Formats: sequence, C-alpha cells, structure tokens
Amino acid sequence: MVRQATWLCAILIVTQSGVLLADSGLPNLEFNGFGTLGVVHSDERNADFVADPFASEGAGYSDDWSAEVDSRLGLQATLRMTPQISSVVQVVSEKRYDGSFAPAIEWANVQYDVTPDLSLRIGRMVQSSFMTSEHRKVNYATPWIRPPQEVYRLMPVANFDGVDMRYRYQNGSASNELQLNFGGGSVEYQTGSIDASDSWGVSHRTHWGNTTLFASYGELKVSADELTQFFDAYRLFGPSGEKLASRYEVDGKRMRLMNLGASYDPGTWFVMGEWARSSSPSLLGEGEGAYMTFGYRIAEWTPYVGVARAKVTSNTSEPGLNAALYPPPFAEGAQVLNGILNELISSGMQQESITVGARWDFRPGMALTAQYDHIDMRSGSSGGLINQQPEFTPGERINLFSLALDFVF
Amino acid sequence: MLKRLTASVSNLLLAAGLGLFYLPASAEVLVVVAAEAPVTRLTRSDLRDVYLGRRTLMINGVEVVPLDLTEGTAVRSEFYTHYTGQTPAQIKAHWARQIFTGRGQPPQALANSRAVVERLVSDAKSLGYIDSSFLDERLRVVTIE
Repeated sequence: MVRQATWLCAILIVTQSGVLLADSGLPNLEFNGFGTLGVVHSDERNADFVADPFASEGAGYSDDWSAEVDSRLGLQATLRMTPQISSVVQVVSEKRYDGSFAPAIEWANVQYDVTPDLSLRIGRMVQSSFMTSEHRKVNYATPWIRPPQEVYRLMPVANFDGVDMRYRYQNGSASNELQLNFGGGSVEYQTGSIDASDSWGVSHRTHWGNTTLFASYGELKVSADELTQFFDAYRLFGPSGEKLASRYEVDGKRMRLMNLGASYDPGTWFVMGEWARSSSPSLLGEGEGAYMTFGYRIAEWTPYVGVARAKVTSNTSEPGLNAALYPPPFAEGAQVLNGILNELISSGMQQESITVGARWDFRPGMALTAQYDHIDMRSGSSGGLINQQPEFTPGERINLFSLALDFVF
Repeated sequence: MLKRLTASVSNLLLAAGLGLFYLPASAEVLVVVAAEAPVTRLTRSDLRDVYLGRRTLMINGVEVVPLDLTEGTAVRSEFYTHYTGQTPAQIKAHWARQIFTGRGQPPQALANSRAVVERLVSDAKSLGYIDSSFLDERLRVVTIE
C-alpha cells in the first residue's frame, strides 16, 4: 500500500510543482533538509558500537573513528495542495544493513485536515512511541548526538505504512495533541527481516507553560523469518520441544510498549526524562529503560549531562531441552538449540550509562555537539554492540567520544 | 518582574556573547493587529502557542494568522526571547521538529516591520509584531496578559 501512496505523493508533487513558484498562494511546495556529519570513537576494539541496530558496521572493531554511525542526510518536500490537503515525502540516506547509504523513504503520506485541529493521514509515517521518536533522525532538533539507547532501543522504532489521526485540543491554557495510528511495517537486516503487522498505538502530548507531558501505549504483532525456522527445529524434539517453541516463539504474539515522558524547559535550562517498558510473551521478553537529561543554556552554548539505565525483567536463561534424553545426533542438536536460545534471551540490553556533552549553536541552523558516553554493561549483556569478535567479553565498560555537526535548511 | 529580569539578563547575554550572530536587541517590540481586527488582548500562552504552531486560534469564527519577521533581525530575536523565553536557535529547533514530522511550516516571514504593517492593514486576520517606531493609527496594540 505504501508503494501506491508514495507514488501518489510523488506524482502529486511533480504535477503540481510546475504551477507553483509563480505565485505565493496554493498550491505551495516547500523543500527542507536536515543532516549530521559525525564521528565516533569507541574504546571497545572487539565489537562495533552502532546507533542503528540494523547497520552493518560501526565504531570500535570496524573503524577506530567511524563517520558512519551518526552521519545522515534527509530531504523533504512538503506540498500543500488546498487548505485541507497536503502531502509530505521525506527520504533519508544513512548507513544501512547492507553497508550502503542507499536512500530510504522515511515519510510519504497524504494528509487531510478535517478541521484545523483534526487531521487524518494515510501512507508512511513514524510511530510516536517515544517522546522524540518522530524526529529522532533530526539531531539538530534533539539535545544529544543520538537518543538514549536505553529507552529508544526497547523497540526498534520504525516507520509504518497505515493510517493515523491527530487531534489537537485546548484545556485551559494547556494545548494537547492526541494521536492514534494503525498499520504495519518491516525492518530488513543482514540475514533476514522483522515484520510488524496489526500494530496500533496511541499517544498523548500536553504543553502547559514550560512543561511537556507525554504518554504512549502500543501493541504490535512481530514476526521474524529466521526465528520461525529455529522454532521449527525445536518442534522436532517431541512434546518438550513443542512446549519450548510455544513458550519462546515470536510469531503471532503481541508485543506491548508503554512510555511516559516529561520535560520542563523555562528557557535558560531544561530537564527531560522518559521511562518505557516493553513486554512480549516470547523470547523478546520484558524490559525497562529510563533516562534523564539536564541541560543549561549560556548564550549559544548548551552543556548537558544525562544518566540512563536499561534492564531485562524477564528470565535471561533457560535450561531448555534435556539433551541426555535423546540419542547421539539429536543430543548434540538439542545442545546447539539450547545454546542459541540462551544467547538470544540473554542478549537484551542491561546497562547504565552517563553522558556528558556540549552543544554550540554557532550559526543559525547549524550546531556542533561533542559528547562523551560511559556505558557500564551488566554481566552477560553486550549492550547492543554488533560484530562481536571471539575476543569480545560481554559485561564490560566502554567509553565513547562523539563529535557531530548538525544542520537544518 | 522576575520574567522581565530574566529576559533582560538573557538579552544582555545575547548582546555580549553573540554579537556576531544575534544583533543586540534594543528595540521595543509591540504585538499589533489592524485597527478594525477583532483581537484586542491575548494571554502570553495563547500568543506563544499561536507562534509555535501548537494551536489554531479562532476569534469570532476567524482564524488568527501569525506573521513573522525573517531570521536574524533584532526585532524577531527580541520578540521570541521576550514572549516565548526561547532563543532564535531554540525556535529553529522547534520548527525542525514540526516540519520533519509533518506538523507544518513556520508562520510566513516578512523582511521588516514596515512590510508587516502593510500586510496587517490589508488583512484583518493577521497578527504581527513590529518595532514600536512603526506604530501608526491604522494599527492596534494587542494587550498581552
């Protein structure tokens, strides 16, 4: 469906753009862009630190200083056709699972404003699961070099193809926005893909004076083709294999995500924080994450500090099949399966981190940010690091130093 | 009083620290509409929400359309610092969040106070802010509570 919606948006933009620039009224076409040029150094040499868990390489093992973790470019066309109908297409180029920077469509939708405060959209959009998830790729618009992974990794936030509704309303001097969405999407990675279907979410945001409050809840049905084969293998082991497969299987089960966030920003300083919890009755298990960031503004400088924590609240080990009960070739097979299962359920993010940084808004639309992160991983946790080499030991501490130039135009 | 003081302090900081990029704000800024426009007073939070695109303000069934000044002008810096408590860089980041999530574009920006005055007198729906020296009898100053 998104393909049709994308084509519709593209065709509308191309056919309408001819008549545009001549006069100032409608239809009106705007072009905007954003980007980051960033480098990251990690002192863990046996694995890669990545901002996007589906990227193929990052900083540490693949590169001492990597320019591929945070660098990206986004371009957007916004077309307003009538006072009620508008369309947005946004394309983002960043490091992908296949190692390329091939551009991908992040947003492509048509919006109909029923009233100035009620709008409906169809096409590709981004879930508003977290307080900054819709603009998480626009580093210029967030205080940090990248959103705290302890919260933002709980769910691989991705765009979805579907419909959504946004309703704004006033409540005394508070302005509110309620958002409902329904759809599905998929994320590709090196050896497969993760598909989400029947996903829905609701989020609510209130701006009251200097305070912003955010809450969201969502559910999605996840399926991962690689895991289906893994559990089919378990099923070959009779009733006890069946039992394990149905306990840990991902396909067809619903994953739930809940998030609460708040910020207070009187201008000269700000504080913001979020708490989120994800749960799935499968090997994805249950986890919690939270962060808090405090920043102070001195002219065009914004130094900030943050703390974050993520933990897995479900079991991280499973005895699995009793290998002693099976004849030789099956016994080894059972051990291999148990090994993989335990590796999967123990790979959840469990860590604490401290972030210290400073942003310099040195000219309009441009900012330079330097950030230091100290990540302390709990025993057994690999903190979302990828390309782990045989010498890599989970549960250690890593230090990151990042420098990024963010811009919008 | 305290807010006024904070605003003056931040102006001082702006003037001292950012001379290169943000001109010192010395002008007095007035929020104005056409003399025959229905708007007479606005709360500070309404003004802020309208300029940040957080709400659509309807007065007598007519939508109030905010007008902006182009970036880098002293009057604009003064307006945002005083009425929203945010620097031009923060306003820029705010609009990046709106634009790249499909929530809309900033108010139309005109080159100077004179252009804003001309637009206001020809369009009673518009709301603007100007350097006080451009105030004339065709305009009405909106009381900000």
